Amino acid sequence: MFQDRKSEVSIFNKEFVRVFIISLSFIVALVGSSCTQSSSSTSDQQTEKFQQSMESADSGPVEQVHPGKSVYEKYCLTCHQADGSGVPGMYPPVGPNEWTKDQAKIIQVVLNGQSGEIEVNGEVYNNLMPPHNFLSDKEVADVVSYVRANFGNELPPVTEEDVAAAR
Amino acid sequence: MVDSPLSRRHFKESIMRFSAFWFFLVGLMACNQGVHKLDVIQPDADNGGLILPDGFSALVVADTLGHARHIQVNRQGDIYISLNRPKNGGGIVCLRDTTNDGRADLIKYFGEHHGTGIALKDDYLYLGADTLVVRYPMIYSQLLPHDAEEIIVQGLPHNSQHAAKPLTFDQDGNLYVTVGAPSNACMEQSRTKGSPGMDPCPLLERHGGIWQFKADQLNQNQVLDGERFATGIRHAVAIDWNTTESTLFAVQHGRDQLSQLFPDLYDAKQNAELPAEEFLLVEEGSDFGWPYCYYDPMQQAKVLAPEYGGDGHTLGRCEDKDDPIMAFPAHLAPNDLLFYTGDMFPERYKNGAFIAFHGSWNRAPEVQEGYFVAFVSFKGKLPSGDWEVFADGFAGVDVVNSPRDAAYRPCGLAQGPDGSLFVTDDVQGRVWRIMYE
Repeated sequence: MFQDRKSEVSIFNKEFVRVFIISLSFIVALVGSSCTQSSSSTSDQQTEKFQQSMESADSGPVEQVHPGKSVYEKYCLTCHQADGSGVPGMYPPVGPNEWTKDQAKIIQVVLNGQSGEIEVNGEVYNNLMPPHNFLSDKEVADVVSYVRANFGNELPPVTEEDVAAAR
Repeated sequence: MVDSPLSRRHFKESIMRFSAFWFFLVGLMACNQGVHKLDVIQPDADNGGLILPDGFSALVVADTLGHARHIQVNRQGDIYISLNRPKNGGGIVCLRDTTNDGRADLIKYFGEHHGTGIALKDDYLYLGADTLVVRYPMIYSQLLPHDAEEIIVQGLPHNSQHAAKPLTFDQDGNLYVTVGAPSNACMEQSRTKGSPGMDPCPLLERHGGIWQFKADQLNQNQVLDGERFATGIRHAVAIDWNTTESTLFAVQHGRDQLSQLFPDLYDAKQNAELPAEEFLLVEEGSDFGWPYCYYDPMQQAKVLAPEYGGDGHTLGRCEDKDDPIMAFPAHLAPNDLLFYTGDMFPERYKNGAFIAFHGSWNRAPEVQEGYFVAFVSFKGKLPSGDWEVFADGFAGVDVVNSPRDAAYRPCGLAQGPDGSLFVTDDVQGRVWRIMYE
């Protein structure tokens, strides 16, 4: 009565290819961003830190992943999806939008959750996101920074201090 | 009778006249059929992107209508579709084909309310808006209903999740409305790890079930006038009254996030396969167990939910809850149910159930599933075979990793007067008409 599992093998293969492609694109993104980052000169302290971490990632082992990635996968991916595109009509995307752009706002949403009708990129959402204030300042900073550096976003990271101040 | 040459000749003439009349009649019918053949609706060369069983074909009736949810087709073939969000000032879109090619060429937006439930009964068009049920009188031969709306039920709870109020009628003047639970599993803090399940779940008083009202009584109130017909149903967007068996059926959206909320008990793979989406035979007083229980298709049992002390195996208080008549894979999101009574499709489809699966989101990080219309053959009140995919290809991609990958998502089903099956999509607002031969 239940659907067969014959596609497991092919799913495994697809999964492997998908992980490989994602890893590859992540490496390419790292190399690319570190190149452009190093050529730019900015006095912004946060961006400098971000640059340093990206450069060290570039020169270090290839497997190094953003510390916010595992937090995203554990707490955010179910609703906001692996590609950050969300669920139409239910959960908004975390790619470029007015919420991810606003550093204070996105920290608040992660800490305190969100309910009520909102509009994101012209689409209306009316659902509930639970508070994630049980995460440490570092975990929140990591996941917010990870989102702001991925899914099409190119925004500077946030710090543990930013999160502590917002609590 | 006198056997005379005269009477015999008279008899022969009568026979000849009679035969001539019949030849003429048969000829006329043949001619008529010839004329009708020219009128036969031609399917789209690509069946509107759908993959269908042999002998079936499809055409796109209309496109980009808005967030098209449930659908009804009246005896004249006019189409009425509820919209999740208003478009062009209307919450209902009305379609007519004036050129008999199957494609809608007259498209009008109507009504100040929007929602999911929509149904035709006795020259009225009923709409299940998110907090009320209204109806509009239909005017014979006119596409648009009269705008003198009547409120049938008011004050239904406004939910931010599971807001849809699908509806159907029995043959005795009753209206059935699903009131979904604004919750995953009645946790004190919704969808929050570590938050306990409320016991008893207070939401069940006004949510998580199917309510019965009078179809023709105005201004009814859920608590004062409505009867909680069945409970323990998290959300059933797919409901239909089976007129052959005089029985209510529903397909439930099962709970989410077992591994996310209870990582010690469930892994991501188990989360993707638990719990089943349940096909329910709904009787007065049925209790299907939400939020305390969910259906595990591997154990073929209702098991105790982890919010209420369950460990994935313990049955406990769930042993006496009503079981489904069929278990579908988890998270496929059944959004409409239709018992087919037409004559167009082959005999095996008669009185069987079509189910529109909107497609999953809660299987991530596993690939998403659903995004098709399924069929279940029936004998009497029970399925007579396994479920099968009837119409596929809505997503437009081989693998849906996240719901936004899907170009179209099936949401509503209706049967046309000739037995065609209509399917809506709420991503872009496409409507298909599926025909046989």
